[in-house]
Amino acid sequence: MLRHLIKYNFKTYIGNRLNLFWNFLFPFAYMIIFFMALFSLSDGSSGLDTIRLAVVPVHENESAESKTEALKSFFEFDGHEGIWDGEALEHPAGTEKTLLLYTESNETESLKWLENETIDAMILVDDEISFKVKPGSSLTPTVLHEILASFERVNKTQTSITSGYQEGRFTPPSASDTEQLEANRFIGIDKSNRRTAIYSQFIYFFAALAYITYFPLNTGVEVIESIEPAQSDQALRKYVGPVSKTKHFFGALIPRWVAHLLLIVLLFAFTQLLNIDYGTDYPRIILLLFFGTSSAIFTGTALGALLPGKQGPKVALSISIPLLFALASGMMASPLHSLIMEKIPWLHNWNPLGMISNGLYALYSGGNLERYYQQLFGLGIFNLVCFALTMLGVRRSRYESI
Amino acid sequence: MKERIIDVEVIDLVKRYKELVAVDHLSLSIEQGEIFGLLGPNGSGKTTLINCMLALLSYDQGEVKIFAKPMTPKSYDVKQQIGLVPQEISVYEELTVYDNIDYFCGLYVEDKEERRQRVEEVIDFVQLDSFRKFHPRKLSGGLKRRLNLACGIAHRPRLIFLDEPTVAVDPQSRNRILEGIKYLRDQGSTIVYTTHYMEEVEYLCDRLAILDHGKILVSGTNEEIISMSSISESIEIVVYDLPESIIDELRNNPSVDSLTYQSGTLSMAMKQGDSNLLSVLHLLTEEGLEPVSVSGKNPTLNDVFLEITGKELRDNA
Repeated sequence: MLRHLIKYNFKTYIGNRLNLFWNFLFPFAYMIIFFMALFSLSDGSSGLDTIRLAVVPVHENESAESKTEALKSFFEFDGHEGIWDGEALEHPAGTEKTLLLYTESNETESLKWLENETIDAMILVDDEISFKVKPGSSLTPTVLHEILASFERVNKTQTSITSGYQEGRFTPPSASDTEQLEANRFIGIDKSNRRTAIYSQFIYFFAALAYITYFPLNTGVEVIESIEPAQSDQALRKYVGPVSKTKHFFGALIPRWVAHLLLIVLLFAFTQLLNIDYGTDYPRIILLLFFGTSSAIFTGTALGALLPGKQGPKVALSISIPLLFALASGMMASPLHSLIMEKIPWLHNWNPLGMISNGLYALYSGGNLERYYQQLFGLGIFNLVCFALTMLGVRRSRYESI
Repeated sequence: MKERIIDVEVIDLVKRYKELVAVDHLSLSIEQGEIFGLLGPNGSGKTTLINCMLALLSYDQGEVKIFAKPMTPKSYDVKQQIGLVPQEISVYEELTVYDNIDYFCGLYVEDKEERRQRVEEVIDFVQLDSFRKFHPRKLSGGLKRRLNLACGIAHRPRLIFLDEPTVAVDPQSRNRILEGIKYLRDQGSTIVYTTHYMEEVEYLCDRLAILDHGKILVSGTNEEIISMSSISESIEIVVYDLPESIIDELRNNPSVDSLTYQSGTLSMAMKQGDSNLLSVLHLLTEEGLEPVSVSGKNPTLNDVFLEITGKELRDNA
């Protein structure tokens, strides 16, 4: 009987054009769009236009000079100091593309360049860093804001560590510790083929993959819709038959679940085709994605089983919940991730999308397996709770408002 | 004498939705091999009653027995012998005609070969053979209704609940469905049938019950119910220039229940009694009036329904 149910549930699921579009095609489209928004598909360089900058120390003192030098060093990760070719600031290697081309100058001259659009922005280095952009720049301020925010975080950490050593609060690691740290630094990371930028795009890509992993929430809602007499006419007809609701539940769940486990593997393979770097620990990544997709489906089944009535509000919830979780895990704005961690720790701890994202990050950033398994364990608990809630709802025997 | 076997027995059933009593101390029994009609306007409790009978709804009081066994959500042995044809077309748009029937039949019949035979039989029965590979979205309303019927009966149930199976169906499909239902009854199935079409009830049902406000107002065979009416027949006579005195005389006649005279047409509902038409014609000829046409008809279920509930069934349903 279960085989019969699985066969036809699979047929109905993949035969539904809306399902095909939203559950199977949309995630691929989403990854392509997301990828194109941050990287170029055609070559190995950044897809953003080069930003030409003037770095302007506001005061002539040691502190300003030191910060200016630190900023210039930071820019070297994805930029170069430009050379003047007549009136134009150009890459020293000629045609090579880069995200940032900078030069150091004073405020008056930089303002002049900005006015005649020789440069795109000027960065004023003071105690706080600020910048001015040429009129009409839409993307430049956003990119600069992200880069400078990253720099400030790195700079503050570095300053804090330096002062820690100077004040004797920290002691340097021993030679053997240093050796060990260096050896462990890139475990599981292929340094030679790294295409992702060093900035906060990382968190966007982890959250993006987590989002499509946690996307099929509505599939879970649909599983319940297909077996609850109060939710669909077909279910009412089925329930008159001699097959238990539990059997119908598994008959509806298994094909959808398996389809989405396969889909997430395909989606991950697709991200690798796009050359998005999630590290090389593929078995653990896939395991994490399996747990993540399962959590989406079980969230959906719990929603479907516990909320009475027809589909409208549940469809709205199954769209908005992943978006809310994605927002909380930093997919739309990376600072939100830290903010949620600090202000709403329970949401951070129990956000399944955040757990997937953190698990991916743990694997990526040096194979921190303890942290990875914490996320996996958290997702496991989340799945169990959702499954228990689903069973609680499904096993009810009262069907009012049919 | 043939032994009466009761397939469905509802005893003192009460179903409340908070303050509203949807089914009010209702009792009925349906015999094996009969077509039992359930009639009633919207909100009369028909669907709630069917859902309680099928254990789709819990109820506050009473008992439902099917095949002499209590009906509960887990009465799988009883459910094995029941078929439901819901009012809404409850099939899968993603499956073909054949797959839809095979899927629902497969809930009852596990053996593949036996199931294949039954599916083929029912496809033939509802005459959907040319459409077996079609998806329901490509079928007309009438063909969809036939598919809906096929999905409910492919497993050859002993007891079939048909909830308005001919709504929005073309006359050709309706006739096929009605003939099919009679055939199923002749094959030994018991059928519970709800409809708003009086002529279908008159044509199909062996017995029926009229429901309103969760109660059975009357039940019995067509003839029994019609005989409960105070009206024996309706008479329509086309006669011009009918004097007011004759109209008054007819109105005062004890066998006339109601009378109207408009545009030369005299319409009268007559109370139970003999020779109503003859006595009226006698009065007219005595006055030298010559009727242009005369017609009389016996009361219908609709007349009885109107008399009992004060509502037109079809308009209120």
